[in-house]
Amino acid sequence: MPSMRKIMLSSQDTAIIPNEWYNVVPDLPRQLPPPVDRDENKSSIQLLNQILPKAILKQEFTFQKYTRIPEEVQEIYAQIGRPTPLFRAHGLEKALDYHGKILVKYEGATITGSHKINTAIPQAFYARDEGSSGVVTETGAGQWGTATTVAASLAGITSKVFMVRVSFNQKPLRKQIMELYGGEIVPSPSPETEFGRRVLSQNPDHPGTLGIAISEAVEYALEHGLKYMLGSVFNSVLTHQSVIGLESEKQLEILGETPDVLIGCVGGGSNFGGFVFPLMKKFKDARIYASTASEVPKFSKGEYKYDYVDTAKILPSIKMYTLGSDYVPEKIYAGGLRYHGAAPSISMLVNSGRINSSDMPEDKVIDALKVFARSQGIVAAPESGHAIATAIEYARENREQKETILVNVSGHGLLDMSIFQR
Amino acid sequence: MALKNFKPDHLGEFADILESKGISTYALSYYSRIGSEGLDFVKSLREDGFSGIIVPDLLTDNPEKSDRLIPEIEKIFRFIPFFNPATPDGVIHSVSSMTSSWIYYGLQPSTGIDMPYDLEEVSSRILGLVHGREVNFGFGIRTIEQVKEILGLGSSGVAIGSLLVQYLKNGDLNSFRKFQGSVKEVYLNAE
Ligand SMILES: Cc1ncc(COP(=O)(O)O)c(C=O)c1O
Repeated sequence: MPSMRKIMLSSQDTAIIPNEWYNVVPDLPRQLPPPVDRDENKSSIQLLNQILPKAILKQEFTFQKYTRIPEEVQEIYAQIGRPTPLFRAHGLEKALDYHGKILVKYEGATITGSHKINTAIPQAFYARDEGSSGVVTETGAGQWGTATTVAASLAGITSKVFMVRVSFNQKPLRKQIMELYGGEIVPSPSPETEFGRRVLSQNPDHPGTLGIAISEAVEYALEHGLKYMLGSVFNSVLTHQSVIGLESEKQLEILGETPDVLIGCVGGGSNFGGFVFPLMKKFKDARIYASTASEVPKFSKGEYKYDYVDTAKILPSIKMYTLGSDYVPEKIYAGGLRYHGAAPSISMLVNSGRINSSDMPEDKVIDALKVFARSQGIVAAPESGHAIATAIEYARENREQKETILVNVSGHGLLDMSIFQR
Repeated sequence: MALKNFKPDHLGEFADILESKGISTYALSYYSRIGSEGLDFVKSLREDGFSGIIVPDLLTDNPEKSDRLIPEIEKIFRFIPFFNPATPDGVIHSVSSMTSSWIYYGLQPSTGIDMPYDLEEVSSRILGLVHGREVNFGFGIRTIEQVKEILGLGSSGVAIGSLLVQYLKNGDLNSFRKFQGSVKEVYLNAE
């Protein structure tokens, strides 16, 4: 038996929190195709100037590999539970009779229960610093919305969240917690925006998608002079999320471990990019798996091409793997994975073969969540369940390889229990 | 007006005239033209008197073609690397080493993107990566103050597009000449 110290790292050691974020763009093997306007008469790129804080825009397009994390944000990172634990999942190893090691980085240990708070905090603080009275965003599963409402109230500004209707109905507690934090929550498509009204007029029972909710939030921010918060997909968000990978790097060093395999789940790609990119730089030979929902098979069935970020085509087009910005995914519980595309940097590396993809259907995900809960005691988020399912499949297929698998568990699922009610 | 009457063939004539006066001209072409006409297109530009070519979408849209194409072009005339803030360090190193000309550096990641940037940071990045090579800056330069600042930071020159095109579109040749004159003055003072 290894000693206790070798199993679990104390979350209290704030020295592990990085003081700079890492941006992968200057380290990519190729140049990222820039965002473009596909409609000559529109400048969706200029629009970013209106709805995003200047600091975010700068980070979005910077060539700097490292950006200093503002002191205030570093302090709040410590308050919200950073560094999050990285531990060896002995229980899971045993349950699978796996001969190697399974390590887990657990973002569910933050106060909002997922990685989303890592970028919500700086975005809300930059918005406040630039004089904005409030922020607007969309949310799928509710994790991003929750993080936004907390960050806005810590920054002392208002928040409004367009929540995809199917999740709004599946997860009433999510609405309550966001309201508790002071946010205003609207199911999307909603009658509050022109785009929402248009979608509702075609289908009053539309379940909503992240693409539609993004369109509504952007439109609302523009109309009301508020700042829009980016939940995922954009480089700047992946940069903020690099705290996950940077902390993991230090924690692995303390544990004396070298990962052979890195696994994370991909919705827009923020937890995955934030986790994998800093580690990929150090562990050049690690095999990498991006786990997506079989019901939203962006990498295996999508195309690598320019497509819109949102359904209303308000935001720019970016080159990514996409199922089409009009794609309406099945109503799976992992609302955070119901997105048609994925971050350009991740898409590029999937296209080049550096990152492998793995599709997991909901029933396998539910099984994986059960195995994980019973062996480790953690109820993981349905999105994270995809990463766990991929890790379990890998461990089962390579039982005797003695490899070290590191999986990022992006959130807890304590507010997503309805997934088990069937 | 000026734009409407313009034909690509005129470019060749101008390049020829300018070359005879000892002024180098560089063509800017998107990859599709080279993709469809091949190196014959590049050779015809050389015959027209151009000294080199800039292909702004080569590294982003057709990166897999660049390793083979750049050395081929370099056998005919100069290939001018076009980099911007989104170009990874590794790409800047490898493409610079395949070429010998000056370098064109876009201050913005793309046309139409007017992003906040720190000029000093931007120029020290690229000058640091390609030490010793001549670097000219472009994209989003709108004022003579910017030109002064850029030259002061060690750039060899500036490329001004949209601003001058706007003067032409408005038929405002006076402002065009005036701006051109001030740029020249800044250069002379800088020397
Ligand atoms: C817990 C959790 N994991 C993953 C995701 C997917 O998003 P991303 O790919 O940006 O990390 C979400 C999104 O809502 C989420 O809530």
